[in-house]
Amino acid sequence: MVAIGLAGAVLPLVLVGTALDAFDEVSAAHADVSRIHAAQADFQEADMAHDAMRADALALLLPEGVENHGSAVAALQQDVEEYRDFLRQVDAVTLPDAIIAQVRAVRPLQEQYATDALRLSRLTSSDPAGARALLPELTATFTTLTVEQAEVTESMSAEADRRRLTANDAERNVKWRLAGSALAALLGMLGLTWLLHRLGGALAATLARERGVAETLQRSLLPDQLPELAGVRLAARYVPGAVGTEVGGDWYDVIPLPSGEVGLVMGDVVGHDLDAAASMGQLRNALRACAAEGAAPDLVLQRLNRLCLQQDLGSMATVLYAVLDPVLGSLCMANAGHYPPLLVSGPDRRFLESAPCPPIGAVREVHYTSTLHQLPPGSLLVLYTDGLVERRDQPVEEGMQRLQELVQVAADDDRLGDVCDALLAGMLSGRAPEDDVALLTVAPQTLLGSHLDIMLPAEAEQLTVLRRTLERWLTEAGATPEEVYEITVSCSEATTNAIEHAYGPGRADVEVVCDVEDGRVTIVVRDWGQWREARGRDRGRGVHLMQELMDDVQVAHGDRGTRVEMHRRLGGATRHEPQRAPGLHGLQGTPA
Amino acid sequence: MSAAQVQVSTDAGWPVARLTGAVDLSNVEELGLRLERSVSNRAQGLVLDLSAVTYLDSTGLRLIFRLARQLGDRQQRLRLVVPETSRITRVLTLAGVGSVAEIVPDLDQNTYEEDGTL
Repeated sequence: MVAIGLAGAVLPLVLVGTALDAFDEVSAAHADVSRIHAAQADFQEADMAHDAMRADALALLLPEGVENHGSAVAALQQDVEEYRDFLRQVDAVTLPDAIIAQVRAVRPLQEQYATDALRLSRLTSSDPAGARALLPELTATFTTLTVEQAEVTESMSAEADRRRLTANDAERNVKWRLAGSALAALLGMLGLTWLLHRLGGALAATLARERGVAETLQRSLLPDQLPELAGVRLAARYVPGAVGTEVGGDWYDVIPLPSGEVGLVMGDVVGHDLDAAASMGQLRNALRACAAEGAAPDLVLQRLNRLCLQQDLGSMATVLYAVLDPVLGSLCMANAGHYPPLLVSGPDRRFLESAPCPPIGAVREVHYTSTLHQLPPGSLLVLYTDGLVERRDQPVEEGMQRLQELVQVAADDDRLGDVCDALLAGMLSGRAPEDDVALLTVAPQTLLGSHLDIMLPAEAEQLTVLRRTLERWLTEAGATPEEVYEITVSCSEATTNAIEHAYGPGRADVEVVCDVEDGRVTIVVRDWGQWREARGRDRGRGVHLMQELMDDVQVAHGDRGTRVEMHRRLGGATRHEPQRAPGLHGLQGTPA
Repeated sequence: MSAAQVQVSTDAGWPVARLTGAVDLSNVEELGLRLERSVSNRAQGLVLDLSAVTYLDSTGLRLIFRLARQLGDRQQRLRLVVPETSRITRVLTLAGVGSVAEIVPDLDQNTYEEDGTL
């Protein structure tokens, strides 16, 4: 097939070349034919001229003489001149060699005839007898000449016919070659197309492979699953750019922080290739490390910038980092050159602008700024990369305006993923984006509802988020601040027990299920570990506190874990009357 | 880790440790160490200001009881500052913290005898 492709590419050129040669041949043959015809015509003219010469000569020699001798001589001389002109014209024509030879062979006789005719004409007046004596010789020459000239003319005709045949052959040849060349060209085009297709295919395969690697790398670095947080829902999407564009270094991340808050990341590494995807991975991990301890966003970005330059990651990236308090719906944000997130709350749609700061990795010693925003319950926050709003055929302002118009808040029972999909569909109009797109949406829930199910790792660090979630849930359920505190303490006690006593080292979970019905709160805390009695001094107060603070507490230890169920009716004091401050203050500390 | 801090100053010869934020299992060990170090051998005792503590449960109670015991072993005393409106009051009361430490509603009322003794 490659051979056909190559032959197809080369053969038409060769054939057209030979066709052009053949065409030259045709032209040459045609030219020869017309020249021969011209020579033939001149020859025939000459033949006629020397007929006239002979007639004039004979007239001069008539015994009775001519009426006007002088004009008759002049006429003969003119005939001779014309005769010679025609012969000269024949000489001027380029003829085939064979014809030229024949023409030259007959030329002396022609000259002699002309000379004899002139001599005869001159003698007619001075020496009529001498003139008459020339007549037989002239006649003989004439006869010979007539025969020889006829032969030449005959040869010319034959040659012309031969040439015409050659021209016809050559013409057919040209036609065939042109047709062949067209056919070959067609085949060649097919072959070439195939060849290009194959080559293009190989190239495309290589690009696709690299693209595939980059995309796989990219996807592997994005979170598999976003954490489920009480009070806020998260959904994210990543859409690679259209085939023909390259995978970029877009990424998003959600980092659980020790405070129970979550770090939200939206970043875009400058560049669109495997390197960008790799840099993205490094930056992502660096940012995770910088953010892990729960530092303020501006400090996190500052550290990341320093790290990026120190470690010479060689990449530049726009990064938005925000710390979200899922319970309170507060968002502390710093922005390193990234597009501002969009906050939609009721009819209010605004981009959370912040002081312009250079991207990560661009400038040494940058001071980023954190700004605090409140995400009202029922609002929607949209973090995105440039692919969502940038299009080659429109200014980015239009894209941002379009985003502002298109985005719809999600109701609590809507799937946030659907909201993302709808937004992507609207922004991209159903076509693959020119650049890749990362999208992260954050929707603080309006209400936590009457049922709350929290699954958390059995780690002390999780207690904060548990308490804060409970505080919000209980407040929404109508609990007084005292009730909120006391129920929260009870729940924390049960959870702390599970963390401390149920498990050995390693990953384990605690589940807290909260329900409120008719003003009665039920909290069930369970673990799946093996209960072990408290060790050391000062233990056991937790259970006592729970019993004091709740209406009732049931603890069930089993092979498959421990289950603590507690109840508390809201809207009043606990069953046990509180022993308030009077009993506390004024007590003298007793040195132990 | 829960956000809690210890700031130590000295007031009339008594070190005052001001605890802020939430005390729970995630930070109690570190807070305990810092509190223990804040009391020199010569001090009469320690004033632990809990005015700015937002959360405290049995884990925090354990810290207070242990601190009181350690101070007591060295003939030193523990005084707690707990405003009457504090949410943690009920927990302290239920646990009987008053039996191991004197509880005062604010730092201003924390009066000392002329010689710096309680």
